[in-house]
Amino acid sequence: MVGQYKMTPTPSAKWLPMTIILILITVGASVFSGYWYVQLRQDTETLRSAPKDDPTWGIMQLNSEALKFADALHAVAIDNTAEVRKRLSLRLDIFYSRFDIMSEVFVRYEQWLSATRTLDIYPMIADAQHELTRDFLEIRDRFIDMDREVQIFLNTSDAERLGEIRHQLDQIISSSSELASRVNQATNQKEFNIRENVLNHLYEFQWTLLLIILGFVFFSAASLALYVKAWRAEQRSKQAAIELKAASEAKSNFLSSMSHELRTPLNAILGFAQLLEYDPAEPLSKNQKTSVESILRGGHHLLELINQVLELSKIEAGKISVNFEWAPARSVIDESLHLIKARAHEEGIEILDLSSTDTLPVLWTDGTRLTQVLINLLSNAIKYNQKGGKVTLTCQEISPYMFRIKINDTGLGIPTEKQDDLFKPFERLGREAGNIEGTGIGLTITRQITDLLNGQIGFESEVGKGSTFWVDVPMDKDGGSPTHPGQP
Amino acid sequence: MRTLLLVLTLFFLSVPVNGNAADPILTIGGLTDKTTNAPLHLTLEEFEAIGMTTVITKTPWHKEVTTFAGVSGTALMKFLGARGTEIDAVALNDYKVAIPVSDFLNSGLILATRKNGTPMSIREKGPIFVIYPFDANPKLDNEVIYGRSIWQVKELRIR
Repeated sequence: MVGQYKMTPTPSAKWLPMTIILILITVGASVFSGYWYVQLRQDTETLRSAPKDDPTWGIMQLNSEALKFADALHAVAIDNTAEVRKRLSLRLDIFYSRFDIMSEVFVRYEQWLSATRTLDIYPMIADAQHELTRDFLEIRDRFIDMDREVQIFLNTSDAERLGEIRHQLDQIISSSSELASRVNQATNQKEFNIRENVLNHLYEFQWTLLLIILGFVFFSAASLALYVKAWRAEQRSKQAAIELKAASEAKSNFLSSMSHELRTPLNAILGFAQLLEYDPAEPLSKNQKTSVESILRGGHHLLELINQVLELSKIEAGKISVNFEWAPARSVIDESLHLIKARAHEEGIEILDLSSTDTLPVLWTDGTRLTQVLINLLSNAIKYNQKGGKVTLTCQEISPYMFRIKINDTGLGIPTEKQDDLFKPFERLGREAGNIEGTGIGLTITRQITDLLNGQIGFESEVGKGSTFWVDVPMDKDGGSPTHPGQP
Repeated sequence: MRTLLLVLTLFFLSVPVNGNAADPILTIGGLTDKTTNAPLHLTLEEFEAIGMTTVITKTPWHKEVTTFAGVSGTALMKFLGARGTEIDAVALNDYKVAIPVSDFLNSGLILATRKNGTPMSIREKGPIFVIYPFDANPKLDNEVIYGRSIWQVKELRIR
C-alpha cells in the first residue's frame, strides 16, 4: 500500500500552486470584504442620519397654503371687513409656519450634507441641494417682504396695498411651484443615488463574502481529506506493527519449541557416544575412536548451536531474567578468564590480563550474565585469532558511572564494509565457508544481554591489525546519577 | 449656512401673537361621555385646566432640548371618558392624521400648548402640538411617529 503512494508525485506537491492561488484569492477577498464592510457601515450611518422629512411633501403643503392664502386675499379684496381680515390673518400665520417648517427641512439637509462630505454620494446630491436651498431662501425673502405688507394692511385696513400684495404673492406662487417640481426631482435623484450606492456596496460585499466562504469550504474539505489520509496511514502502520509483533512471537515460539525437540535426541546421541568412548569392557579400535570423537565434536557443536538459538528466542520473547546485584569487577573478570583458559590453551592463544594489578570497582549488574558476555567476547577473540596470537584484556573507568572492559585480539580484523552487519543474527561475515565453527548469533545474544544490563557494546577494528571489542557496565544503580555508589 | 441660521432667527423673532384668549382653540367630537350630544369647544384656559404635564425632549423640529407643557393623552382620555380606538387629529390647514388611542394612553404623549412656558402661536406651530417623549423612548424615532406628531391641531375626533 505504501509503495503505491511512493510511485506517484505526492498530493501536496501536485496541489501546491493551486492551493497558493486559492489562499491568495481568499486573503484578497477578505481584504476587499473588509473594505466593503466599512463602506456599508458608512452607508448605514448615512441612511440612519439622513433627515426623515419628505421635502416634496413640505413644499407641496407650502404651495397648497399659498393658494388658500390667495383665496383669503381675494375674499378681503371683495369684502374688507374685520371678520374676513381675521381669516386672512389666520391663513397668513399658517402660511408663515409652512415657510418656517421648510426652512428647518433645508437646514437639516444642509447639515446632513456637510456631515456626509467624505462619502461617495456627496458630489451627486450636494450641488443640487445647495441650489435648492439658495432658491428657497430667495422665495422666503419675498415672503417676508409680503408678510410685512400684509401686517401693515391688517393694522390699517388700507385696500390700496392689496394690489402690491397680490403682485408679490403671484411671484411667490410662481417660483414656489417651479421649486416644487425641482425638489421632487432632486429627492428622487437623491434616493436613487443613495439606494444604488448601498446596493452596489452590498453587491461587492456579497461576492467577496462568497469567495471567502468558498475558500473556507475548500480548505475545510482539504484538511478533512488530509486528516482522513493521516488517520488511515496510522491505522495501517498500527496493523503492520501488530502483524510484525505476532510474526516475531511466532518465530521465537517456533525456535524455542524446535530447540527443545532437537535437544532430547541430541542428548541421547551424545550420551551413548560417550558410553562407547569410555566403555572399559569393550574398548574401541583406533579408527572407531576417531569416528566417535567426530560424533561427539559434531554433537557438542550442534548442542551449542541449539542452546544459543534457545537463548536468543528467550531474549526476544522477553523470557530471560536479569538479577541486578553489586558484583566486584575483579571477580567477574577472574571467573571469565578462568573458564576460558583451557580453550585458549587448546588453541595456542596467550591471554594477557593487563588489569590484574589494578584495583577495580564494584559493578551494578548481573554477575552471571556479565560473565556470559565476557566469555562470548573472549571466545570470539580466541576463535578468530591467528595461530600463536594474543588476547589482551584491559579496563578503564570512562566516566564516574561507567566501567569499560576491552578485549583486544590479533586476528584478521573486520573489513569496514562488513562492520555494520556484525551484530545482526546469523551474519558470519563470510566465514560460513571457512573452517571455524560458529553459529552467527553469539554477538547478537551478547549485545542483547548487554542492553538488558543497561550497558553498551562496541568495537574498533582494522584489517590486518585485529579487533578490540568493549563492553560498558554501570557502576551505579541508575547508570547516570552524579553520586558514586558506596561500597557494598 | 450661518447666514441662513441668522435670517431664520430674525424671522422667528418677528412672530406676533395672534388670537383672543376667549376664542375656542380646540373642538372635540366622537365617542366620548362628554360629547354624546354635541361637540365640545374648549378655550386654551379650559383645555389646560384638564391638567398639565411637562415633557422635556428634543424633537425632529426642535434641535435643542425643549420644555413642552400640555395635557397628557391619558388625562384627556380620562377627562373625556373616551371609548374609541382611534383619534383623528385635524390641523388648521386641514391636514388629518389618525392616532391610535393606545398612543394616547401608553406612549407618554402630550398635547402641548406651551413651549418653554409660553403659549405657542400659530406661527410657532400652536396652539396645540402633539409631542411624543422622543428622548425617553428611542423607539419613537421613526417616520410613523413623526407623521402622528401633528401641529396646529384644531380638532380631535374620537372613533
